[in-house]
Amino acid sequence: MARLIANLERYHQPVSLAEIQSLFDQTSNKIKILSGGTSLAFNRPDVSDVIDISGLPFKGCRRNVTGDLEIGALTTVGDLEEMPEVKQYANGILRQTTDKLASTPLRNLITIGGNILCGYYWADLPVALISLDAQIRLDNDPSKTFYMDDESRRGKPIKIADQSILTHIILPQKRSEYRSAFNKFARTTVDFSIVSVAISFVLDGQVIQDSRVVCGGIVPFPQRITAAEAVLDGERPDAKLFEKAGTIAAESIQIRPDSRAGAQYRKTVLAEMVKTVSFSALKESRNEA
Amino acid sequence: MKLEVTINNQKHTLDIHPGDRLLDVLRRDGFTGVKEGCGDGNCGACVVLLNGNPVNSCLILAARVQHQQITTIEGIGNPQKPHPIQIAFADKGAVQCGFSTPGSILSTFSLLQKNPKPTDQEIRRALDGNLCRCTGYVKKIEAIKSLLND
Ligand SMILES: Cc1cc2nc3c(=O)[nH]c(=O)nc-3n(C[C@H](O)[C@H](O)[C@H](O)COP(=O)(O)OP(=O)(O)OC[C@H]3O[C@@H](n4cnc5c(N)ncnc54)[C@H](O)[C@@H]3O)c2cc1C
Ligand code: FES
Repeated sequence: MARLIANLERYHQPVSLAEIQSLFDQTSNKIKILSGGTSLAFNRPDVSDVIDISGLPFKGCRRNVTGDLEIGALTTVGDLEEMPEVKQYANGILRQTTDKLASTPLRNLITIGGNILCGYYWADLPVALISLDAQIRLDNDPSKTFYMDDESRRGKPIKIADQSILTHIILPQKRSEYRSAFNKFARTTVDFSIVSVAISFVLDGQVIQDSRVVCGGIVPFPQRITAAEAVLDGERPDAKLFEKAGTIAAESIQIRPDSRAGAQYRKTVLAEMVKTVSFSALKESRNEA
Repeated sequence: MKLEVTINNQKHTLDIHPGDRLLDVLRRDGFTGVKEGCGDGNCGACVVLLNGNPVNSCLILAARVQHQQITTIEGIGNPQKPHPIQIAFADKGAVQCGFSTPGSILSTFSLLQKNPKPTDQEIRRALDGNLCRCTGYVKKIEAIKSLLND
């Protein structure tokens, strides 16, 4: 009978950040934090203690005073996709993403925070979240709020301090009305992405401004393709422009192969997806996703 | 450690190791309708309901479900008193080897509890985590739709 964590001695279920802190203070044991726990499918840590944070109150979403959407990091993907605010935000891009993320029983476990911090190159939510200029907040402390996208570590998994807890994801009010879309190309509806793309921009008069083009599945961690954004910004949207953005995107990214598809194949798919996802973003009528 | 959990509406106190999977703990306690296929979250043979929602019990540490509610296929129906979903699956030929069937029935049960009139697309999505290697999927969808017409 296989154990998920062979040498585990203690399982803690704190319900507050203070309780977690005192667990850290009291022990020098090897500790693993788990929220949805689904990363145990890929990584069985050798620890004596697990801190299960799924009982913390950071779930659901609310608008803050500046109109930004604050989502609790312990919200499961299954709950996230049912939230009316999330369905409406930026053409429902997060709903488009969760629709293609894993399977129903897994979505009932996977948390939005775990999907960001697992650091897997196939993670789908970070693709959409980075395209929305999302920020993450640690330890429920507004002074510990950071942009997910940071030029200095672009394309690398997001790392937080060992004893920190990701408590919120913040979506800016500004992008809530942006034209946005996500799509994922995979072998089956529930498989990892071969390529995923999220695009968000605003139409200022007739021209695109403030675009974000983000890819996943092909780089160590979802990242912006700024060369493609530069192609789009300041231009009127049409098929030729979107095709050019796709070509430039594929040329400017170092693509990694894996067992699902080679680098050249992924490059071709990426170029096509940047084009088609740009069209989807343009066409989606706002707040109707 | 002691695990106190409600399984199929009955309270159980079980001796577990903190590293045990929920899948193994349930099977050890006699709920052998919970099956192990892949063991890594891909196939859905191990699906049980956790507080009414389908989850993969092969990826859950049993310690996590302290004081929570689990439903296994044994809590849905049995050969003497099968649930209408089980009857529909049998009638429509949605069962062959039967290995994935408990998970599929539990996913269907949860779907219909929350959404008594699902669309085809909603049915497909609700069952997207339950792989079947003999009958395929069309018969399952037919079985579920037959329940909606009643
Ligand atoms: C078969 C399978 C298929 C999958 N398919 C996809 C897919 O198609 N697309 C996709 O995006 N994902 C997919 N996933 C999910 C993905 O691979 C990760 O397993 C998942 O995102 C991890 O989230 P979790 O909530 O379960 O995190 P956990 O497993 O609990 O944790 C992951 C890591 O993050 C840390 N952590 C988690 N939450 C916090 C927090 N709030 N604060 C501090 N640290 C934290 C943990 O310490 C751990 O290191 C799949 C998973 C499986 C098993
Ligand atoms: S045995 Fe759990 S998903 Fe396959």
